[in-house]
Formats: sequence, structure tokens, C-alpha cells
Amino acid sequence: MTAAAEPTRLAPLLAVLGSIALGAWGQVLLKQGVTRVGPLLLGARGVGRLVAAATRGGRLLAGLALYGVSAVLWLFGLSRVDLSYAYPLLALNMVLVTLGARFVLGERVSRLRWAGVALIAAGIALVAAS
Amino acid sequence: MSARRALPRRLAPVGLDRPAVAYLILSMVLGVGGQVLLKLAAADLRAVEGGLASPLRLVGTIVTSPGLMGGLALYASGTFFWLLALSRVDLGLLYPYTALNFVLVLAPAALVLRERIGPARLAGVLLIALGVGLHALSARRGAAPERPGGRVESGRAA
Repeated sequence: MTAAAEPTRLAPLLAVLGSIALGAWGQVLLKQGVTRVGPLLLGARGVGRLVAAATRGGRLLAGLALYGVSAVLWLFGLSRVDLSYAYPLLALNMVLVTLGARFVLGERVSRLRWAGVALIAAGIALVAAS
Repeated sequence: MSARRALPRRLAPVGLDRPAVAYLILSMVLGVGGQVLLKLAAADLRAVEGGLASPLRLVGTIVTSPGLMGGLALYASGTFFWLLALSRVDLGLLYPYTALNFVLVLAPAALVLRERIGPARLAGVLLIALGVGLHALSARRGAAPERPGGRVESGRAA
């Protein structure tokens, strides 16, 4: 354990960032998956339709799988860095989703929202370097 | 606007009714509490040989660790209360409050986990909270009311 601090911090940082990116991707797949299933109500029938759709595979299953991988990566990262270091990085999700909304889905993004994204990115850089 | 009826005067500017406020606070406390428990229990994963190179061993350790499963359950229940709050008020109204989580988590991190939070990390967290707040407010301003026919029915009675 005499290795320098840098390499030992890099793997957990990558795990945390990977967890967040996969989580965002999983969320997109889940949204596409449930959209295909149609509106659901919480209850036995809704859960049944959801489980049936998930077992058929496709985006719903892929989204759930990404969520699982994301959770494992998060816990691995958390075992090696502070919570006050990992938790703020979750805001990266909003940056990724905004970029995805603008450049993948072609949605309009207001100046106020870009300002928010810029502040979040600056804050993440500060925390990541801390 | 139906969520605004019968509000106590003090809460009216916030735009949430009382159950929504209670659900929101519960979701924040459970979500942050879940992460604290996960952090405490994640120490179990340090001993896993191979780390990320042996994912099955990692998963096995996770599902057999009471602390990690408990933390995940707490976190999930936080999400449940978030959904209950969402069923009562528009997302645009609720979303800005998620900025508070980033500040809130610092308290248990410092007091329970004994983490050292330096000026750079503190400044970063404040910038993030501000950015998340702005981002969320832009959603509130831009979004048209999304619920034409009252609130979405969810099995809240369960």
C-alpha cells in the first residue's frame, strides 16, 4: 500500500463517474421501455404488466441491468472514497441529461438552464480535485 | 393549482401542501440516511479480492451484507416517498428542493462519518447546489402545467 495517492484515487473516481453515467443511460432505457408498455397504475395488474414486459427483454431489461451495474460501481467507489466526495458528483447526472436532451433529443435548453449546468460543472471540478 | 387549496399560510409560498412537504422531507432524510448507511457498510467491499475485476464476488458480498442491503432499502424507501410527493405536486415545483440534498449530506458526512471537508469541497458543493437550483428553476419557469386532469392516481392506500 505504498502506491502514490493518485492511482489509488483514480479507480474509485472512475467507478463513481461510470456509475453515474450508466445510471443516466439506464434511466433513458427505462423511460423508453415503460413508454412502450403504456401508462401503468401501482397495483397487482400494473406490476404484472411491468414484470411481463421486463421478462420479454428489450430496453426495460437492459435499463434494469444498467441500474444494477451502476449500483455495484457506486458501492465499490463508496468503499474507497468519502461520501462527501462521491455524493456531490451525482449532480453530473443533470449535466449529462441536459446535454442528451439538447444534442440527442434536440430539445431547446434555456440560458438559465445552461447557467445551472455551468455552475454544476464548475462545482464538480472543484469537488473532484478536492 | 389544486395543490394550493387549504394551505397553511406559512407554507403557501412554497407551493406544496402539507402531505407533500412531509413526503419530501421523509424522502430527503431516508435518501441521505441510506447513503450514510451504505458508506458505513461499504467498508465490507474493501476486503473483496480483485475488486472490480471480480464482479460476481462483489455482488455476492453486497447481497449478503445486512448493512448494504439495509442502506439500499432505506434509499429505495426514500425514492418511494419522493414518488408520493410527486403524485401531489408538479415536478417543476418539487425539483428545486433536490438541491438541498447536496448540502444536507455534508452534516452526517462530517458528524457521523468524520470526513474532513476542506474549503474546495465545500465551495464545490455550494456551487453544485446553486447550479441544481438554477437548473430546476428553469424547468419550473419553462414547463406548462402538466396535469390537466388533477393528480395521477397512485396506490397510495397500500
